[in-house]
Amino acid sequence: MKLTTILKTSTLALITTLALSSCGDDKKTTDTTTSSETTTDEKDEAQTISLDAFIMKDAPADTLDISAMRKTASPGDPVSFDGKIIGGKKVFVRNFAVMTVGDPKKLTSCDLKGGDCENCGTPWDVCCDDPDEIKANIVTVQIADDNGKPVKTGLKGFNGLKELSEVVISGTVAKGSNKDNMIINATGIYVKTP
Amino acid sequence: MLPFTYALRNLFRDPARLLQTVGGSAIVVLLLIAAVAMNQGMDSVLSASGSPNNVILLAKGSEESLERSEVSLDAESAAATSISDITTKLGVAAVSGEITYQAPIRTATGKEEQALLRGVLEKALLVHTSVRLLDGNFPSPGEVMVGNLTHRKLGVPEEELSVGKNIYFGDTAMRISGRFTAPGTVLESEIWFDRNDLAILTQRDSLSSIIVRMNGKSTDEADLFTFQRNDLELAAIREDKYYEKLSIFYQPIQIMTWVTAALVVAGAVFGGLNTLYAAFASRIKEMATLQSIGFSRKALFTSLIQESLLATLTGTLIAFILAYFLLDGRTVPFSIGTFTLTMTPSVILTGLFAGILLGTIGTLPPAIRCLLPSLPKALRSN
Repeated sequence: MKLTTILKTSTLALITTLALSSCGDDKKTTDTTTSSETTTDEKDEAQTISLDAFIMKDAPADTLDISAMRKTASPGDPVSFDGKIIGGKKVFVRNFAVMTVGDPKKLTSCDLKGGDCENCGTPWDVCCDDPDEIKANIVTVQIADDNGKPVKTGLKGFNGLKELSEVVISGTVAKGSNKDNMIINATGIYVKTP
Repeated sequence: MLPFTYALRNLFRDPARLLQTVGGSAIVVLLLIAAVAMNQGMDSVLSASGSPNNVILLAKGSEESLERSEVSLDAESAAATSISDITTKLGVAAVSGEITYQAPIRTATGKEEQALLRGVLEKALLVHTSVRLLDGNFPSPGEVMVGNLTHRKLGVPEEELSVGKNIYFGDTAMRISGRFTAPGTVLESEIWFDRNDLAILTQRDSLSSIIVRMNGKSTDEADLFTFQRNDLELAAIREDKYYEKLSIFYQPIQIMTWVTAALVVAGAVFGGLNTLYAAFASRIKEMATLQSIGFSRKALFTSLIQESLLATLTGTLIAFILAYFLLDGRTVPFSIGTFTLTMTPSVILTGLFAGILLGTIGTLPPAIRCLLPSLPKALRSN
């Protein structure tokens, strides 16, 4: 009889402790979601648009370096220039036809630094160059729709384009570009070295 | 099988040993659940602090520290007008340029402690949607609003930070205009200043970051903005990912907690083994006698395990009760906020599992040693 009482009391106390403790488990905000939800949402936003019309079979003649082009070109000017897909930790926007192209003669990407740069996040980052040099020697290249907005298709993987690819771009300088910031609406992309 | 009462009565044959086993297992389980609750609390506050709908725009190269980041003031309006898919409330875009700063803050009683300061305008409430004003009002110039757990971060009584009192940034007195809550987030340990006040006090003409609340959970639109405005030198990171990265910074502390808990458990197991070896060694003849009257070795072994489990689980129960009264709901300050220790089901299960392990693994070697000798040899033993 005594044993039964002891067992019952112990079990009751253990259950009570468990029940009381579990009451405090709802203290997170409702703002967090699982990564699976995120992936689904992000996929929903992507649209597929064919970019084949923007592939150039041959590299255009008389191309400029980015550094030279940045000094002379103004909004609306047609331009053709050489460059490399470098310029930051991220050089492509995932679901937009936008990328950063840098002047490899002026900027040194992390893959060429050989461990000299501690801050390198990615091989195509140029974080160890002077920020003013970076600003003056990169351009944003986008494939825009009729309204001048970038089309909602990522450029990465298109015709072999990837980080560190060497490219030749033909296009026009977008409206709103200035000496500190230049955006190119590409009409043709030639991939020299994928 | 031996009756359960045999195991129960045996427990009380040596009250000192019983006390030692129960007390030891209670301490071990208590320390273990404290370690688990601490790690879970820290993870929980960091994961709840960031919203997947918020994107932080901060300076390139300072993606790992808001405090190091410097963002041009112009970037706030540029972001509000250029990024599509931003949440709007009553026609106002949910974009908040903020200054984040750590500095010592002195209370009226002279206690000075490092605090997390955030310079904001009213728009901050559009992006930090978990913030609720509990008392008073949003800070105007010369005023601050304190979080519900700021007093824990500063190590002062709650009354010292009540509305109407002053706190000091250097020699500048700031009146507390309000008190807010943001449950389970690091915001709750912060002090919110009027943004212009904090800019003047910290002598800066730039923001630390711009927080943008999006309708969806994608950073693509914000990324697009940072690419199209290379001149602003911005990087975009989702707020929850930012805090996820921060939690990596705290991993060494969490590992240390686990190592300490593991050492305590190992010490307890070896201590327990020692005690039980001594206790069971004196019962070899008794076990042999029971075998000779017909009880199998398996039955005796089960009885020894029962006896040990009864002691360690009693200790576990005591640990749970102590944890409920001493740990549950306690707030612990750390460098970027305050987290709460909570006895979640997983914490309780870990404690229970540890109690069972202590009672079984610790008993196995002494029990085997006690039952292994042959019956004639065991009967002749002293």
